[in-house]
Amino acid sequence: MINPKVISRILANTDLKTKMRLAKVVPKLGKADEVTRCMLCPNMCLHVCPVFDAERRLTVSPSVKARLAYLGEVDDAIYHCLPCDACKNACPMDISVNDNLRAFRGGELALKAIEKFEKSIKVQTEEREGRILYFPGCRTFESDLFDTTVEVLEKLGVDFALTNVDCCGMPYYELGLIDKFKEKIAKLRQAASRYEGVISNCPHCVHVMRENGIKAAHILAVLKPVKIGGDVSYHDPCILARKLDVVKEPRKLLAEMGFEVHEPVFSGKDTHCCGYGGVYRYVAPDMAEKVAERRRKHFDYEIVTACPSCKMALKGKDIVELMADVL
Amino acid sequence: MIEKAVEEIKSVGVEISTSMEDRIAYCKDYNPLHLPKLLKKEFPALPHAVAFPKTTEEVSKVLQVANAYGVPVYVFGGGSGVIDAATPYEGGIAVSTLGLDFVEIDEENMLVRAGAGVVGGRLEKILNHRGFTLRHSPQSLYCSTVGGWVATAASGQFSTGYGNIENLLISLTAVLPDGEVVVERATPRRAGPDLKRIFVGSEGLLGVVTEAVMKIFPLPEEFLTLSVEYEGIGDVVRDAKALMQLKPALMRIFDDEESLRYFDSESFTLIAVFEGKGASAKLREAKEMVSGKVVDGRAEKWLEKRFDVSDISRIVPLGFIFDTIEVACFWRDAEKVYTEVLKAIRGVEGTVTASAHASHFYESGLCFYFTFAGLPADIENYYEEVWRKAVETSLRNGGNLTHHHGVGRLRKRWLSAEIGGYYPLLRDLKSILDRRNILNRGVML
Ligand SMILES: Cc1cc2nc3c(=O)[nH]c(=O)nc-3n(C[C@H](O)[C@H](O)[C@H](O)COP(=O)(O)OP(=O)(O)OC[C@H]3O[C@@H](n4cnc5c(N)ncnc54)[C@H](O)[C@@H]3O)c2cc1C
Ligand code: SF4
Ligand code: SF4
Repeated sequence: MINPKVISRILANTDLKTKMRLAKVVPKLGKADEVTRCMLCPNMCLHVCPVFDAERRLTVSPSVKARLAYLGEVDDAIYHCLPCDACKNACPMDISVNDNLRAFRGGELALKAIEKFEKSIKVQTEEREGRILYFPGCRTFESDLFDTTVEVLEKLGVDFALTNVDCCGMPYYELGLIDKFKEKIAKLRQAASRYEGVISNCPHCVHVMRENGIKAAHILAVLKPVKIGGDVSYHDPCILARKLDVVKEPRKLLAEMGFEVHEPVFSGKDTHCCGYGGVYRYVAPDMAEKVAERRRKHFDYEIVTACPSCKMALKGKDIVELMADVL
Repeated sequence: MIEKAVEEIKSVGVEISTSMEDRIAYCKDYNPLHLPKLLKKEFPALPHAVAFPKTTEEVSKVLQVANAYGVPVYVFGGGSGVIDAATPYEGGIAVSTLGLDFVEIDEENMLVRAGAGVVGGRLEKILNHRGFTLRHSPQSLYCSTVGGWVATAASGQFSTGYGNIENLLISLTAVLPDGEVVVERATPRRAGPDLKRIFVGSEGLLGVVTEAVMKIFPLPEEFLTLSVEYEGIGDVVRDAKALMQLKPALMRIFDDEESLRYFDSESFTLIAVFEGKGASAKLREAKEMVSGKVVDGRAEKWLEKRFDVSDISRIVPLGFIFDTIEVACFWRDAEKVYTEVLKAIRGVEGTVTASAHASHFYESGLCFYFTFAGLPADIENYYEEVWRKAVETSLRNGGNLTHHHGVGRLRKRWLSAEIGGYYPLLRDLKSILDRRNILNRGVML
């Protein structure tokens, strides 16, 4: 909304021909799409983009990726994104670069990356009945967190079910393989419909489920404090903090468990992706490792987190594992 | 020739790319005239290749090869420069300094040693976490680099209290155009010629800055603000001059048009920040000193918005062209420079808004920062006319050519009028250091 006093000043100071041009364009104010607006920005979120920070090329910087999409150069750089939304968190226009680039993906690189992903997943399927569905997500298996979580949930008396659906579809979604994604999420929706809700260790899975109409919560919602104590540094998983808005809860839980929680540089909503978010690992594995290596340097104490991907990348512990140690 | 140079750079182990995506990423700086071109899917320029050295030695290797083949080289930091300097009009090799990205904090001596490619916003965040600040805060903090700051003689929002980049600099490492590396031992001060200064504001003409040692400061415990409103430019400038005795960390004057945009008020506004030890006493005194009316909250409002440049993205797609013109002048000329330059910009057909603030203050004077947006029939002609009229009016009325954005290609025709006898000296320096004229050809000279 433009201040009416500004408008009257413009009208007073502007020549007639310019006024006529103004009359034509003013209705279009604010209507440019996000890709266009982002590519015109001088990269005002460059300092927080973890992909740029690791790769050190303007080519994969937020605004330049938008420029490449706008220009139809969509072979490679536009896939170099963690769906971390550090850009959106810093952007005065609330623009998520990754959300905007998804529509331009789906090319050759997407197919190669998804093949790598499919080869890498090792999901152990089990069936069990219960009130709420525990959907571990592939990364919970990859990070050896599944058995520990089952043990903790049992000890805490959570009435949970298991089913043999293996994937929330996130990698397909992020790579722009939308038909395949729809297939995956439909299968999960069908399975979830038989329960009161779904819990998962993986913030990605929870977010994808919520976005697609499935009632889902992060596993933190069912955990209860057990006394341990000591000093830890907490790493906010980017999806958990920014997209699920879970920032205070893990800190409260850790404090109740007797921990002194230390904040690294980049924490809370201003957190820094661990490098294993989304599908960047299947697009640029060396660079994903570099993001992880850089993030690890931000901590002074043992790294504790609440996401299987972050746990792997940062060689830290998931809160669930801390509990399993003493339960 | 260029192909051979690229091959040779690869063979000495430096990463260099000829991919279209990398070339597009390094096709321009942030001179506003490039934006309408991009909208039309045209490239302002295109380098033939982009080199990504990771160390000073690698920068040296790139320059040695480029020099041997006489290939033009354009130096890039964050590409946020606004004076059309880094844009690779002759193709050649764009050298990205972003791979030079180490940060070493020396808490005891209150210093930070940083690679040229370190991005300001990240550096500040890392320092803040340790209880320090660089207090160099250009509006482009989030997208500009340490090397870029040195090369453009950048100035931050806290320059009034802490100085500009040259005042924060302790030592520099640079690579000369023929690949020779120059380093000096860091020390708090030394007499004798301070030759690192030739790189400050040299815009990549005389060498590539690869690292810098800079001062850091403890994060101030106290941070107090003052907001005052005035009827006109004369009173506010007089008060700003008086307030300099209290050494504010930050001070700004907004004219009526900018006050309207930021604070919904048609008066002139002065804001100031006093911080650190003695801040409350200074604030008390400042309130007694000023002749304007003390008001609430304007400093805070501006501080909240100080990195928001999203209006650019909103207006450029509509066919607007905008830019900012910053000039320094002595106190004596302040009113004249402000009034006449604004009048000159407003007089160009196509101008929709023209306004100014003063953002950097010295014992002897200040910097005015004019912002204009136009919706002309012909963008390039309009832009050229506004610049010509504004700069000529500034020079005629006691203002200078540039306070902190630099010269680039945009202002080079006025440089000799500005620096007089130093202009041929600069030419000599350039031809001695860069015999084959490979570095940032066409910039400044
Ligand atoms: C929104 C916005 C706000 C801005 N606000 C300010 C402000 O408040 N204060 C201010 O001073 N400027 C400001 N600028 C201008 C710009 O950000 C500065 O000039 C900045 O210092 C440029 O840094 P960079 O890393 O982006 O350099 P680039 O744009 O990449 O380069 C700028 C010039 O320096 C040369 N160069 C870059 N790195 C090196 C190096 N390592 N060695 C040698 N030469 C090099 C380039 O060749 C070029 O000539 C602003 C720009 C924008 C877009
Ligand atoms: S996401 Fe926002 S801040 Fe980042 S480059 Fe795009 S427009 Fe600029
Ligand atoms: S989503 Fe993350 S990785 Fe992608 S551009 Fe934004 S900040 Fe960078």
